[in-house]
Amino acid sequence: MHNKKAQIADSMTWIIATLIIIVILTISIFVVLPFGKEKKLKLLRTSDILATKSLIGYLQTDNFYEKISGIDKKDSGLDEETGPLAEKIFKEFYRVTYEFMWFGTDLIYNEYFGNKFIKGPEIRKSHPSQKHFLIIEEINLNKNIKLILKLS
Amino acid sequence: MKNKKAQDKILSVYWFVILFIVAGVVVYMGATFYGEPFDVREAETNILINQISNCLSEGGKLKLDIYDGKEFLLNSVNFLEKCKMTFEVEETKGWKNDQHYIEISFLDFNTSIRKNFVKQGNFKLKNNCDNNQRNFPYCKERSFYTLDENKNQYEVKIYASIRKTEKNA
Repeated sequence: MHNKKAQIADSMTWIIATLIIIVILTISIFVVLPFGKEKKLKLLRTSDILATKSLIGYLQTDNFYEKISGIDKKDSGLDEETGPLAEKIFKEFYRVTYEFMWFGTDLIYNEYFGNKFIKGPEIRKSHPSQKHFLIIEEINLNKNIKLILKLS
Repeated sequence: MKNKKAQDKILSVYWFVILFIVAGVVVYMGATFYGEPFDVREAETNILINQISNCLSEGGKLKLDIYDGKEFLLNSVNFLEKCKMTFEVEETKGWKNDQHYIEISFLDFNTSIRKNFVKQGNFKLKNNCDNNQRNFPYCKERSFYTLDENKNQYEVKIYASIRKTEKNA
């Protein structure tokens, strides 16, 4: 009688162990299945050739380079002439590719692109600080003035 | 003693069965994960657009062999030669060098009037674009701002479409 009970206990142990193995394997299969469906290769952008070309083209327009590099450090560099063109280029051309773009000098704020770091509650959530910008193009116009294009 | 031997045999068979099941599941999971190809067409389209933009403009201006100050020297016939590109693909899946399509529009920046238009490749791809469907061509359009030698302003629109659905998706 004792022997039979021991045999049953032994068998039960193996049956339960088998069930556990099958359950673990089944869960693993279901975890892997969604990963196998669609795999798109997405490369992290750290530069944008087209945006850089636009930025260089922008500086070559009329006397924009001389104008912006000659400004006072407290000046945003974007006036009635340089501001609307920058707005048209960067906001129109890149709004499909990027959620947020900012263009200006070292100053935190300019009237065409707003605040360098925060722009509205939605953007604040997704872009709380500068480190979240994917692409930052900087051009040193002179010792004091730096022109910055940020895309995210 | 005999009973013990029989038990060991059954146990050995059991372990082999479990071993095969586990091995089978691992192989199945590996095949599921790595069996589907990566869709690299988005990256490929970006590279194609970047290459075309490098061919057209340098230092914020249109290159002189693209626009000499009087007329555009780039057209649909000489595009591949001028930009040192080829749309040839490997001979597989019945492909006949018809997996790419590009359009380049040179627009006056202020009036949006088209000054020059270049197209090359299989134009049928443009009508079937769907970037969210795996079996349709992947398409993208991007623009950049540039000047010519006379400081005229242009918006250059580059449209690229890549099929390769059998291999990439």
